[in-house]
Amino acid sequence: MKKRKQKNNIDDLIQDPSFRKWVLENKSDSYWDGFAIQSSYNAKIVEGARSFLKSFYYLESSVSESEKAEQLLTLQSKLNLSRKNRINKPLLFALTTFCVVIFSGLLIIGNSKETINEVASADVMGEGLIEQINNTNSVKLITLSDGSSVLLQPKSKLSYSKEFDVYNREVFLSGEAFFEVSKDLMRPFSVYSNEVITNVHGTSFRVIAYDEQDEVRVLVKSGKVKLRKSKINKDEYLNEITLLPNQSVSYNRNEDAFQNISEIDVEEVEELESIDSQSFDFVNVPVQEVFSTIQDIYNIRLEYPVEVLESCYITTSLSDMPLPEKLKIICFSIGNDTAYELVGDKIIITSNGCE
Amino acid sequence: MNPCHNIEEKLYWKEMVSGDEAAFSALFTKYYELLSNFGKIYTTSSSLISDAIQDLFTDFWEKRKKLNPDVNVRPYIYGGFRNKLLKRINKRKGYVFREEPVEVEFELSYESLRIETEENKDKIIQLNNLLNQLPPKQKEVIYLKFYKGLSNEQISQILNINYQSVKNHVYRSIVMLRSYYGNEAKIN
Repeated sequence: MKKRKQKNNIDDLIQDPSFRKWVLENKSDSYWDGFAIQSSYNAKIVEGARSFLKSFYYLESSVSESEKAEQLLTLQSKLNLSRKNRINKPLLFALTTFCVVIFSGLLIIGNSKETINEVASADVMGEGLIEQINNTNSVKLITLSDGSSVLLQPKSKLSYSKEFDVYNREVFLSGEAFFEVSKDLMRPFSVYSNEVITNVHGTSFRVIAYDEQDEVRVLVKSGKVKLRKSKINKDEYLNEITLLPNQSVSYNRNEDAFQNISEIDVEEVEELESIDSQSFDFVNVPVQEVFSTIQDIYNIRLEYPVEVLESCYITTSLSDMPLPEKLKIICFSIGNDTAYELVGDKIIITSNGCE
Repeated sequence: MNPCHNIEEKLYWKEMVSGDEAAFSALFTKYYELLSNFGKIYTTSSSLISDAIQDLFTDFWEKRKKLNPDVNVRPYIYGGFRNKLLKRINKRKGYVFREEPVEVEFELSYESLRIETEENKDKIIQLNNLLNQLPPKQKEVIYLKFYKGLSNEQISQILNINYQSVKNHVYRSIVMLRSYYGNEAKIN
């Protein structure tokens, strides 16, 4: 490990790029996680530096893709440029092989179908891009590098980069998946699926976009979700649809249009017995029960010391957060150095019992 | 900053200078949000900001044959944008010869601040008030240095001031921060 210079002051912290990253991108970093709890002095300077950086963080806001697209179009027409944004120079491709994902993010404005094809071929190039296909008969849990959880349905495929870009988080879906996105106001999270792009900052929602079906459907469980077509006709720039919790909308691929927004039929969702209808609100519930709910919903194996936790009850509300955050809160409520670890396709809980 | 970005930027810049429209569009898309946010410290008017971005990129394209293909892209774009924006702001205010910002304001977005706890929110607002009392130039340096993570060298290029005065501003900001947090630490 690289040796770090001793940090003694708030200004040492705010000038350290890895510290800034830790605070602003909300990523876990073993060095800073440890540093912050080493002493009460450390805790104090970390807290100070964090609020300093955060005070800047709230100056900024993200710019919508449609605003960018509109501004680009204005510029292009003023300068009499052609509308194509694809770059197909072999040299550029070769040199940016390891930047593939960031790169494809820049091409989206034009025609996203092309972009998706490019990403598929980028997979052959192999660097930094992960493709997950669920060939099983049950849902598959995927945890992304920003801590977001995705429950991928059978016969579905998700592509994403191992590490997200600093400006955005982009995934490509073919089929169906439920997303629980970790909050990050600086970096929008975008799902590209057939002709539809779904943009959020931190919410939970389901996208249904099978290649062989005539429609793309998005259902929102919590938070605010913005949708638009990936292929934009000239007069359609500002056509962005906003969905609120319990709303859904379908995009008809033949008509190339969104249908009216509708309220989600509660009974329909409850019948699914899936994550969509699970509230994750627990009031004085045995820990084992919470764990078994999580095992069922996320289809993941949980190992925990049964006897030690036998008489532990918790009250907590875990809706609207990705799995790693849920686990963190559960462990925190149990207390007594309870910790979790995601190992491959199972979760291991270690605990000395509840307090 | 991710090294990918630098390589990519350099490439786009070179391609743009040699007349590649796609690289030009890519550069615009990449910088649009960064510059929009940077612009917010000078004005609350988003139309002034987007106009200034348009001014800048129009210049880039029209004068591309005269541009240096090996320029240090990031500070060059930030600096160019700042000039365009200040020109527009000063024009609107009726100043013809002024080249410096009249005011720099770190305006918090209260909408997004809602996710903080009450205690954190108070701290952030308090710190924000403190920062806003500083002179404009020092605020610009603080923003670029501590938030954007740019080097003193880059900042001196963007703000068109010499390296030593950037260093002085940084030093003064650190003194201010130390005294602010120093007092806070003593209370406990």
